[in-house]
Amino acid sequence: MTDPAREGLVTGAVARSAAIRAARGVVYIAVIAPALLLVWLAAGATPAGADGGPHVAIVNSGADTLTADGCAGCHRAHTAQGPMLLAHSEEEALCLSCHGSAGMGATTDVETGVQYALGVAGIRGGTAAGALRSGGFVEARIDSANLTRISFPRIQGSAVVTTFSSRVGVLAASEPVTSAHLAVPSSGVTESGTAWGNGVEDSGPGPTADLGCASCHNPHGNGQYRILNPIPGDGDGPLVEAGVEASVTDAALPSGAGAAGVRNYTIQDGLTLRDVLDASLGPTAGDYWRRYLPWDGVPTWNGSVIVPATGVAGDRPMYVPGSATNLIAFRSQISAWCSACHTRYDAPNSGATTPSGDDLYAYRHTTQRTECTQCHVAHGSNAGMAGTASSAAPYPDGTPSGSSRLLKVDNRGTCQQCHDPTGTIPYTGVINP
Amino acid sequence: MRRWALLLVGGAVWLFLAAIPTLADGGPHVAPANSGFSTLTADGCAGCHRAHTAQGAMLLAAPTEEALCLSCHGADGAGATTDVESGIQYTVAARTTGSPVLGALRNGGFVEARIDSANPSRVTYMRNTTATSQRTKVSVLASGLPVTSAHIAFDGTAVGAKGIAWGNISGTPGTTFDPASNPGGTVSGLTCASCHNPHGNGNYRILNPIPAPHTETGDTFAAATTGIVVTDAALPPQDADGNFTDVRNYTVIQAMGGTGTLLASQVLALPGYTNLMGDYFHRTVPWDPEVDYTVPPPTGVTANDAPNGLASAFNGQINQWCSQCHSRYLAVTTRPYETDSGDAIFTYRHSNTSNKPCTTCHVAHGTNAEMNGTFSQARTYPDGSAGGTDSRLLKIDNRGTCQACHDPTETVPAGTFYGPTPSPYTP
Repeated sequence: MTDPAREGLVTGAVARSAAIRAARGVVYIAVIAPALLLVWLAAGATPAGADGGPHVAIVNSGADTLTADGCAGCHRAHTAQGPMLLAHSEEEALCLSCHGSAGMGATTDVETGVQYALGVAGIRGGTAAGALRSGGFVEARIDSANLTRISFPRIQGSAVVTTFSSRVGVLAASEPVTSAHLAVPSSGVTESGTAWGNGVEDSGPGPTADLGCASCHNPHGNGQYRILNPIPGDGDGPLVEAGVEASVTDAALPSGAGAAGVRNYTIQDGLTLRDVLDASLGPTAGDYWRRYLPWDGVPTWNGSVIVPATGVAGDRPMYVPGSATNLIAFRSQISAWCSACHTRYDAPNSGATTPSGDDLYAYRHTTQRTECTQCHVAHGSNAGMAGTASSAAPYPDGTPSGSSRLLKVDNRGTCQQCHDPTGTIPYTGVINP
Repeated sequence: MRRWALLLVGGAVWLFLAAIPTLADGGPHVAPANSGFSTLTADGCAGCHRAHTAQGAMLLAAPTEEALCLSCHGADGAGATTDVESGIQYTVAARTTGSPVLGALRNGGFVEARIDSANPSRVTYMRNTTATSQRTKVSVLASGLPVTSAHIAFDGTAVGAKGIAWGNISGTPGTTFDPASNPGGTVSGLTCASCHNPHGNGNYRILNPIPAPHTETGDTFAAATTGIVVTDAALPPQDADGNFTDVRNYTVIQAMGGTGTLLASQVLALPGYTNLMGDYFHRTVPWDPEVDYTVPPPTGVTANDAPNGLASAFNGQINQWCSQCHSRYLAVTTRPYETDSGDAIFTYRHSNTSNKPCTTCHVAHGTNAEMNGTFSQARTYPDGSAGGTDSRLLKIDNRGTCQACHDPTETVPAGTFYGPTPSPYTP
């Protein structure tokens, strides 16, 4: 259900050359960003501690008020500088005016992959609270080279086999990303420009796609987790958009004062930013891998039977131990959402052994038992691909690339976080390294 | 004191000269009478002009053009049913305090307006099989509120003259743009006669085909070169002596298609008539025609705004007319909201096509809409100067104007009603 009057306002990404974007980006960062920052500061961009800022559906939809004010924060009816009547010439520039490294209108800095505590005036403070779940578009803090892995038993058929849980920690300082979903001007990433796997069977590696923030997120709010568009896409571009919506359930909007009214967007537990700050674990706490919560709360072997896990299996964003409102459907929902674009990556548990029929995406890792965000971040990763094979692994179109493919672990350590193909690691709680 | 005396005299003269039945219309502003077409012994000239003892420029009997106009059309005027200061139309021209009000004027007022800008009503409907859209009504207040923006800055209001016709540029409206920063043409003043021809010209609201703000040496305003006609409805009926026996309806009260409410008498005869009827937004008339909001295409019968009874022509014509001054606001090409016009300021623009003419979102005279939101009151003018709480002649508080048509969250299902239930519901 779309409003034709907006015609791509949310999901569209206007085709533009990378050169023009880069040039405008430089101008933007140098000249416009400080001005935008001042506008937001002067305008008191958001009430102190409120979450959602201008991205709240009930305000923008008309449900809460038909005299909304937020439109004027981003749009101009007659003097717009960007398509879809944006006040600024580039969609990314507008978003980064709050969510960028120099932005002060939001606690989340999606360029460096950090969520900050609130400042004195109710906007971004100087203290990092934690690392963002999805990394950053310019830098990320994924400790991709120094993991810890623990083995545990699981039933496979009639046998007990070994599997693993891991902890991928947080670096004290950000590192440049080696892959990102968007190549923002200040990153060193070159976009592949291809929506890998998008399209029907045997349609090739995928169409070109020019993404913007609004390709995935609805900046007006929509009640979805991370305001994800139920049908992500590139508007009128060549990407084949899904025919059905993929919803990802969100937690209730926080309503407390200060940090209690701001969501927790980090890899640490807790519903709100207040929860993260109160836990006082520091900005390097948390686990990017999140196969188990906590990472080592896994089942154990007592010599004869499997002892149930002390933790919970599977990622739940904004996890609160024991809460009845944890997002238990997240894993299946996020895989379905990612697959809205990366269509042929969606695979059943038998995907590795049963051919799909596609001549390129023939055999595929399951996305049912293992959700996309288990292995990949959504924004950007600093994982290193220095290995001989990893540094030249071809894209689906055959182009060699050292891109980290948004993976969380260096080289193909991602595989080892769940698998020991040698069969030599017992399931008795062996911790590596 | 002298100004007030002139006003009283002017009003009394009109009462005498008109000798018109209560519902007379046209007054002195009738082209056939003043042009020489119907008579070469016209009398009306003496109502406004003095050949040798004029007090105002253009041989006006009053010191200023506004004073003369307001002698009949002002809050204290007594020669016209329309009070453009208060934004209301009375049922009688010879009005006094307490005279019955016919309804609220379409364009608000220069001092007060009666726009219920804080409480729009909206219903969502299926525009087609996949997309929703919104229908909104902006109702009428029982009493006036001070305007927060107006096309002319009257003394005593909070409105200040900007001195710029935003978007004005020499060339063809809607197709001539400027890659250099050019907010518009400067003017030295805007008066009633900048937009209206008080002698009549057969046009809707006697609009000048080429509007003419007051300019002086150094001003950069570029006047249009081709006149735009906004077709008017036929004049009200006249008796055997040529006197009008009815008055035009200038209010927001409109029946579908407009032809049933061209005259004040028709308005008064509406079933359930009250002077609080009417929809300022008038994107469609009636605002809510739907029988089943969930069934596409829309099944209800409605029509575009048609204050002149011409639903197929009015919107396009009024767009063209407003653009005679605000040239670069005309956006009737394909997708102007995502097509770079080449202009440094008016780069991407909201479309004015279909039922989105200027007059859907804006009034022409003045509005009382409040811009008290953080972002709405921080918006600069096209030249970058601070706009403060200027409401830009919008009809709804803050940016409720956007929500009157759009739900960018795509979360509101068809059939959802927000806001108060208007009373009366229609018109």
